Amino acid sequence: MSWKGFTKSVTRAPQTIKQRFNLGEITKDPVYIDAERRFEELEKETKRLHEESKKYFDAINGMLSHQIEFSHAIQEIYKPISGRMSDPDSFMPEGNPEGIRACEEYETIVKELQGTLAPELDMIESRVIKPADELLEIIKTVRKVALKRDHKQLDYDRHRATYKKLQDKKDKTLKDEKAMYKAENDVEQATQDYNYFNDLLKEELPKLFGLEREFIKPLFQSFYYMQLNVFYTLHERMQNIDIGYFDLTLDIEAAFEKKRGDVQEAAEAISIVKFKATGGRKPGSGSKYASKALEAKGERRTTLSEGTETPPPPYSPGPEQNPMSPPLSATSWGSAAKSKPAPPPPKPKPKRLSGVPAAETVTALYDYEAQAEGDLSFSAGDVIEIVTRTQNDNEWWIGKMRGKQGQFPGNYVKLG
Amino acid sequence: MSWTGFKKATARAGTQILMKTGQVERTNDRDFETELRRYRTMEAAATKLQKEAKGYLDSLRAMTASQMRIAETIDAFYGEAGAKDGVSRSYKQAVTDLDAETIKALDGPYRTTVLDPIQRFCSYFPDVNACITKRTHKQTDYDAIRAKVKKLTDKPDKDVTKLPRAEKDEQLAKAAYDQLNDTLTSELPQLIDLRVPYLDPSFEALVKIQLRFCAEAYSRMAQVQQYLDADTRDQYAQGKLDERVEEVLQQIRDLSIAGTI
Repeated sequence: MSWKGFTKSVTRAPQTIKQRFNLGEITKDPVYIDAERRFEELEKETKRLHEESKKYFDAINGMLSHQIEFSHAIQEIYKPISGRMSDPDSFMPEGNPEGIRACEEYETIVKELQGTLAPELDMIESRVIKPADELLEIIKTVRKVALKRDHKQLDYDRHRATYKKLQDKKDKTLKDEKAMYKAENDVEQATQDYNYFNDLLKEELPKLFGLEREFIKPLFQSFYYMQLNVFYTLHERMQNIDIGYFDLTLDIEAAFEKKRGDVQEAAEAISIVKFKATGGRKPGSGSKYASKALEAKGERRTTLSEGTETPPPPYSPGPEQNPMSPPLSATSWGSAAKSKPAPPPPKPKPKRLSGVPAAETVTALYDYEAQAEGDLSFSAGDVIEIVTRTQNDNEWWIGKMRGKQGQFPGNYVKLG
Repeated sequence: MSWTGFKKATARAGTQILMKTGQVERTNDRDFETELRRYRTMEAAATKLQKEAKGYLDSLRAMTASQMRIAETIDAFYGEAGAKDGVSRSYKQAVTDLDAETIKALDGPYRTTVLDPIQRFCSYFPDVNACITKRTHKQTDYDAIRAKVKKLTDKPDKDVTKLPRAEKDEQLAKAAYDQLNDTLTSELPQLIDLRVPYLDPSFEALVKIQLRFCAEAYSRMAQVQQYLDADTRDQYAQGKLDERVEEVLQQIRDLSIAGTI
């Protein structure tokens, strides 16, 4: 702040405080106040328009580059992976050559698309963002004028108050008369200044609003057509995607399920993918030392989780037809495994895909590890299809989940 | 870290140093090393895939979100003038629908077919990595005890019970190491082989979701056109709209409040 600006703001300070607390006489021009309010809105909206069109521009670019990167990444997945890159003989005939080709085709399409869209997107930059930017600059200048007007108003009120005070004084001395003369001059000057700015703003702000509307209309129309063009190009290019690798006739989810099959189950059958939960081996097969260590670990984990989880209710020992009670060590194994939060349950298939009417299902409240042959294991939150159940939930019910059927304690689940 | 864990870590750190100085021989399992390298390659690729899949959804959302805010702003501008032509309304409706219906409708399938499977596949890695770390530890233990046995054989100790005890420990350590090593050597390739069938369906799903999004976005946007004058399109094509923007901008600049006073 300049020295002049600083002295001004110091002399204005008392009046600023008065105005803040609504003391004394304050000039209020309703017409200006309304214009000011509209101006504020305009300022806010111009700013928003500017920011959002920029974001929009970035998002479209981001979308395309993510598409390309995704295809790069999946290509990496499709490529045969050799442990010894330097040794070409070690390449195994695996991977997915058709997939790689599809990736390449896809990438070409998206890259072309990016090329085609680049000028369109540049147009958003040059014809929407830039004008909005310029408007924002102008609005900043106008904001300065409005500020000046506010200052002049302060001065006007201030001088008027001084003058009034002097005028109201009963017996004026010579000094007072002098001061009054000066104050009168000040008031006159301030009135002129204030009126000039006030009238200027009152007159021109509405003009600005009108022009703004005229400005926004073609801007919006251009923006709309640019957008339409972007979407049109996207649609055109993607529609013509002709990669034999993809079966475009099937529904998204149906095709996914069809192509996928039971690969998730197959992957999860590999013991190392749930190493942390099971220790990577089947109960009983490990060395004594290892199982001891794991038991200790399991104990630690259960004590950790005690505070957060309510322990599952006890269930009655297995039904009679299952006389083989599991060995004691298996129980502690089970509890060790249980304390790890279960992975999210797989999404149930969409209803419309399974033609049969929905069977009765129950939701697991707790994790349950099979204790004997013929038991059904599940994690809390899993949905189990009921095969047979009784009214008594202290009994063992039979249910089906992920293609497996088995028994489980009824009090471990809730209906629905 | 627990006390036992700490003791183990200290002992292993010692072995590491001895290995560096060549006093303890390191077991080298070429098969495992190869599989490990393959696994690392796959891990990197899958992690990248996860990042990109999320990034795509995020930018799609960002796009419709800013579209919506632009529409709101424009509607507010028009609002004061009294929306006579209904363009801003219909535009706002179109982008709102795009956000509310198209994106929401595609969000579910995108999650089930792209995001979740990839995420689930990536969620195996921490477990596999824990297994690999454990194997390394067991290997270090085994190497250490083997070196000890070798030393005792070369230079028999006064205490004759030491050697048999060490040999027994060696057997245990070997069993623990072999068990993990064999599991990993046999199962890592299984997991690596499954990567293509596991992740491939998501690619197709992604492409289809993109197709559907583009088609719906276009058709929704195209509907707004009916509210615009027929010649607006030509005006746009001829650059008249841009001229108009410039013209009005100049008029605004000419206002004395916009100049320097």
